[in-house]
Amino acid sequence: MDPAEVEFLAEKEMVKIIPNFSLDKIYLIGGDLGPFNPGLPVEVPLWLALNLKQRQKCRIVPPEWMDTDLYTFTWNLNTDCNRRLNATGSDWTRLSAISHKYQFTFIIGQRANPRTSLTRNVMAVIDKPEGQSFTR
Amino acid sequence: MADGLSEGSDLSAGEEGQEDVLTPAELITKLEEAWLNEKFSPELLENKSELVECVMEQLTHMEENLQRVRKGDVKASVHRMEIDRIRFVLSSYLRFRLQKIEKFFPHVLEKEKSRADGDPSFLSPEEFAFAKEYLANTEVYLRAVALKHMPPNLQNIDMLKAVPEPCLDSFVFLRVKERQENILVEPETDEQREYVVDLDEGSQHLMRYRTIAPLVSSGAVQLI
Repeated sequence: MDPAEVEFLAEKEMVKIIPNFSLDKIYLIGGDLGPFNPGLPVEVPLWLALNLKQRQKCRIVPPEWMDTDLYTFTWNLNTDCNRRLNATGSDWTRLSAISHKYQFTFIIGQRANPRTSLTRNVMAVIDKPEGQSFTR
Repeated sequence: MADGLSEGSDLSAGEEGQEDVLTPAELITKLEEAWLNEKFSPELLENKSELVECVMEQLTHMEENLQRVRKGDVKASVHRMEIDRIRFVLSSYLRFRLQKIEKFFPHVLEKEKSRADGDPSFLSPEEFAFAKEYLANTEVYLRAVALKHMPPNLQNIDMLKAVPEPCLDSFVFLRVKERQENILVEPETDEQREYVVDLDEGSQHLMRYRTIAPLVSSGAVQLI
């Protein structure tokens, strides 16, 4: 299973965003989303969240599990285990989703909340080169 | 403001009479499951033509709606992105099937010929035509390039022996959707003996495909 396909599957996970636009409910084939009101959090699939973020229409809220301690734990697991386990299973999908969240966390860290310790710590962990296990 | 794009949700017209009506979301989930199963299974799985047809119907319906809405609408772009994602899964599913047909064409045709009338078909009509043509073309090619230059008693080739069979003993990852009991696992070497396992719902395993092949077609496990 190549990385692009794993990312494709990871993008189905739901994530909370805070939009800066308003739109009433949209009825996608895969489910209903919205309505969108500026400043109010709403759950959307990751592929939509990333697209909206790119168009600067929302802010993505890191999920609770994206904490540094859990992250280092799963990061170690990721570097030690067979890559093929990166398939649709909730924890492994989250690992794939991390590569995307890296992009937006990086953007958030740079432009929105550079001083938040959460984003700083997570980014420090993400920037660790692969193959090195991260020990505290 | 009514959402002109919301009319694609009614599926009851497109389904064949046997199953309950599926919501579009369930349909897409089933398509993705079929896609993953087809991707990871070493042999060609049962044909899911009604699933493919329903998904195509949904996609064309949504696209027609999108034609009517003015361009530049935020909603239209979101719908379009979703259509692209679903279309990717559908094309990828059909691509995997075609790859397997090309790889195992004599065995696929033999299986189709020998199945009983009541059994579900492994190939859609188009795939069947494709497989037959592929067989005919390969035979013509081999004959023209090599066989006619061989001594007369070696000029026939048995495709079933020439083309390797799918390896049903390859290992696959799977997740159990319905609890299964007493699955017999054959021994791999002479020192081992066969044993019996129970598969709990939600657990993930790595097993030989041959052991769980019937469970894949019944939908009790999902290959991952």
